[in-house]
Amino acid sequence: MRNQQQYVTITHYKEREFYFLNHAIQTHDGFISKEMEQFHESEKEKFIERIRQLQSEHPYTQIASISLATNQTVTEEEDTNRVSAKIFNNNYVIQEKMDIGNIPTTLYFSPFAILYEEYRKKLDSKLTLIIGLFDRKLYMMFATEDKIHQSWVIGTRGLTEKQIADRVYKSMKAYYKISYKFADHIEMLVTDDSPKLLKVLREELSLSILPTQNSIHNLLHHMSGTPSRATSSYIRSSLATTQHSSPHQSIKNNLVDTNDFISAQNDTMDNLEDIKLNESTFTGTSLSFMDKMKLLFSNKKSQRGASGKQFLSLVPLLFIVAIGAYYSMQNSKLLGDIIVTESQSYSQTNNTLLAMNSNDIFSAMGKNAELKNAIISNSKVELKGVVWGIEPLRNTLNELYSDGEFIIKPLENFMTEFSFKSKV
Amino acid sequence: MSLKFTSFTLVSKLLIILSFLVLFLWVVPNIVSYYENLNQYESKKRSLQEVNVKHGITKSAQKFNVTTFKSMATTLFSNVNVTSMEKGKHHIIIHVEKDKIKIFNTFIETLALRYFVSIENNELKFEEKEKILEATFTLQEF
Repeated sequence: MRNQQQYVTITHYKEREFYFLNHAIQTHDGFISKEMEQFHESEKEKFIERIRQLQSEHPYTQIASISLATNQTVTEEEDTNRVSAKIFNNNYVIQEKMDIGNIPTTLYFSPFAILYEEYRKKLDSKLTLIIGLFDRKLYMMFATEDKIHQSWVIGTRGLTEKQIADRVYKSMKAYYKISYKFADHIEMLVTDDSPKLLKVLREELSLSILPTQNSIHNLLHHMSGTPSRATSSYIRSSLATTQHSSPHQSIKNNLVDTNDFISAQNDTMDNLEDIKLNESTFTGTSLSFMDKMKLLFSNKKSQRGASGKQFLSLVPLLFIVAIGAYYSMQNSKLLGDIIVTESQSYSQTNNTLLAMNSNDIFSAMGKNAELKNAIISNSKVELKGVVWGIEPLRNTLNELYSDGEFIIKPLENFMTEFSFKSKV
Repeated sequence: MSLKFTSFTLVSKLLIILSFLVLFLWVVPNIVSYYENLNQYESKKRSLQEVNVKHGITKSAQKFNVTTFKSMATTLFSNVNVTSMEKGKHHIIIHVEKDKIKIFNTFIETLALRYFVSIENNELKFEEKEKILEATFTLQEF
């Protein structure tokens, strides 16, 4: 099949600071997805150019995207003043505003619509809790075959897998409080590649939960794969149709045979461009800390440019760390000097005491005795020698060391030996 | 230029908060500790300098060196023997004439002002040998 005859679905969405782009060739047996492309938000023009390029390469295209806003609710009545997507005959996803900027988009889907499409065949009279994890947000709805009873959106940013499971459980309890009904079973669609989350959900939730995993691109390719699916649930800009009376141009497509499918360019210009900005309602558009740190050290020029500002915030930290390191080193060096000075001072004091003791003992000897052996320290004194003036020596030593032991011993050569021991 | 904190990105905010934490929990205590230690060091140094002046020592203390010690001690005493041992210990034997005992005591008193050493166990041993006192002690470097 040549390019001109192929129906191609181009899908894109924004998660945190990145645009993710994919395109797939739609066939009667399903779609054949091509390689995913990623653009940083600073490369928005490049990203748009790439979409335009794909459009020019494949004349029969639809450009599908997803609304990841948290302020979406499922109601039973259509609100013509808001953007809405029909799910059942009596259920509409309503969103206050929608921002797509100047990014070409022909079909805009709500996660609730995608969830319904995924599980509608499984719905019956029993209450089913359908959960979709899109961009770290839980889109939850309690549904039966005839209607959606309740819906809400919960953020899971920064939560662990166990905490996400806990959120799901709490949501079930919350619904029980308002309806006195428990879901008979839970279906869950996880768009992130997280086998751990699937495992934890199976372990933590006692009810039978059937988590499946599929990427947003695949879901969007599926949604926009046939006219019946796409036209039944894409988000219509009611504001656009009421405010602009210019008719949309329809394109003839061998696969898409409906006026709801409008060429990408015209749709962007006439249908969705006038929808007011509501960027602040998106909760998951900022990068996680780890992603930003990776970005800081990334080699990509454009990414570096975008994160270059963060280096400015790094400057004070580096400056402070440098000052801290300098003072820390100086302090360590100074502590070493203090230890040496203290040791010197302590040694000096001990030496002075020792010299004083030595001086006292030699003075005590005087002309009364002569030392032969002596141990003089700051804690004890042990003396041995020859004495001539026993009493003067004894008195002097007793004056110096009151509890000393003075012993004399006569020698054979008519001399007298003395010994003295004392603690200082 | 007025910059609102809220206009910063998450990483920038975290870096700024981290900067403040590092500043107040690590840098400021380090600076305060440094200047406290500096005052303490200067006070001790001043005390030692006063003792130096009292003993007429002009040079500040230095690391123990066998040659320098021996040459200095031999000017005062007849025989000086130094045996270096492990762990910065030096066994010293000095022959002291009996009339030079006061010089020896002053020598001991000023030892720590000249070298970074202490006398092991603060102990001196004397033994009379041929009318000369042989003083023995061990120096420990610090």
